[in-house]
Amino acid sequence: MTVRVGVAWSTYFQRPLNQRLRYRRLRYAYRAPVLFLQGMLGSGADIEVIDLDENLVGASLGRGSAAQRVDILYVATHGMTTANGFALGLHSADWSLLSGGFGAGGPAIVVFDCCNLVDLTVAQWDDVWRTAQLGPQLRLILGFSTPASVSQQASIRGTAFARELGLQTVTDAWFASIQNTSYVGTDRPISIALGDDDADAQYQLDNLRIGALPGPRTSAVPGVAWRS
Amino acid sequence: MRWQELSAGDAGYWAAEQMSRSDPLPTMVFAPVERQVAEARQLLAQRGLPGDVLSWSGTVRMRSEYGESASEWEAAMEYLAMTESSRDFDVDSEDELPGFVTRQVSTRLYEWQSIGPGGRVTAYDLPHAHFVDVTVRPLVTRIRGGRWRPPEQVETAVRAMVGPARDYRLRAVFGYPEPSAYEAANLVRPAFVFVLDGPSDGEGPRWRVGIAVPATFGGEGDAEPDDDGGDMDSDWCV
Repeated sequence: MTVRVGVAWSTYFQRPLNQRLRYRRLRYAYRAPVLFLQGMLGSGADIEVIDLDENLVGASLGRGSAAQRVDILYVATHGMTTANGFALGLHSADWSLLSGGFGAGGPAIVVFDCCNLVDLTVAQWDDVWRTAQLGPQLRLILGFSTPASVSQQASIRGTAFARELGLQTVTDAWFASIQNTSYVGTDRPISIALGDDDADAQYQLDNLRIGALPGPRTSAVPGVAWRS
Repeated sequence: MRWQELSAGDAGYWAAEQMSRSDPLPTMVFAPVERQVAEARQLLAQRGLPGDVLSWSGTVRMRSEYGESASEWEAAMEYLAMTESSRDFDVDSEDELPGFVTRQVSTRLYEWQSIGPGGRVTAYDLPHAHFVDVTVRPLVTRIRGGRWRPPEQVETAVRAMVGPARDYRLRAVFGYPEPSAYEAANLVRPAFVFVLDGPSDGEGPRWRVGIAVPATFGGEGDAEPDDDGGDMDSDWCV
């Protein structure tokens, strides 16, 4: 089976004056997705460039979008934990992942190469991920539980992840990629799996491999398992 | 690894302090990647060590058939002793490591610390995999360091990175930023590495950016720099 890979990124941002310092330009946010794409092309994947910079908006990722046609989606931009789960800071607006429709037709795996997918210091933070707002195709969400370095050096993790995917389960590949490309005491990876129930989610977390992607979950509200 | 917390205005002073401790540090030269790969394969075969050589970088991943992490660590150390005699080790604090890393050592090139992400040995404990990555490239020679970069250039680079940011956290470390296992590398120059974290509270995203500012220039085979910093690579600025 040929794996379909999509990438998207935002490197610069338009915000009101009082928010501009928060939405810093991320000059190198393009590099990790492109390096990942290059690595996956070398393994025979089909590619799809979703939308980039000012063209990347919420509609690029939600229901009916091109992002729904891929198996693995790699997104790099600003990210933030919110009361409603997680939001991406895109070029001119934020987009809440749990706003509905993401994962309805795909992807099965999404990488948020962004800061703070979750805040592990919040008790029962995972409750918010048990929601029917995440579509049934989505089985694995990879990201960071800390800020994620955006720099020329750190972006080699795109290459690392493509290479490790050929050697290990998806979660293990992500973890090794981040540890092997980060300075000590900086970036920490996290993986969240969604399943028919918590046991199925745990199975996907521990076993999901790129060559054997699972079918959609049968439960509207997913079970959740995670590792960091 | 010892990060130093700084303000942007202290970066030049801090860099000067590092430089004052010695003459300009040398550039470390590794064997060509093809040679690293060939020698690593030969060594593993000769000793019967259970390792895979990463063909793109020449670094090694020890993975035993039985998933015995202790034996993999011993094999990694044995391999390291055979390939690289000029390094010492610093054990990284458990506080700095994620739970899936059972132990990690960073190395020192002679007395100077390697600040990664290469130049270290990392043992992984993952559900389907116990392995040890040895991202230590053998040194073949040292190139004399020409001269230190003027500290004010280091401070300029840091100020450009910080820009108008407020409520930031700036960390710095000095040493050899050896490349990761996913890159071909033939040499490494000493550098000042700075990691800048954006605001940790309030509404909106946090962010983390970083730069590595080469600490020396003008060594053997290196073009002489402009004193005004005209050789500075604009890619440092993020």
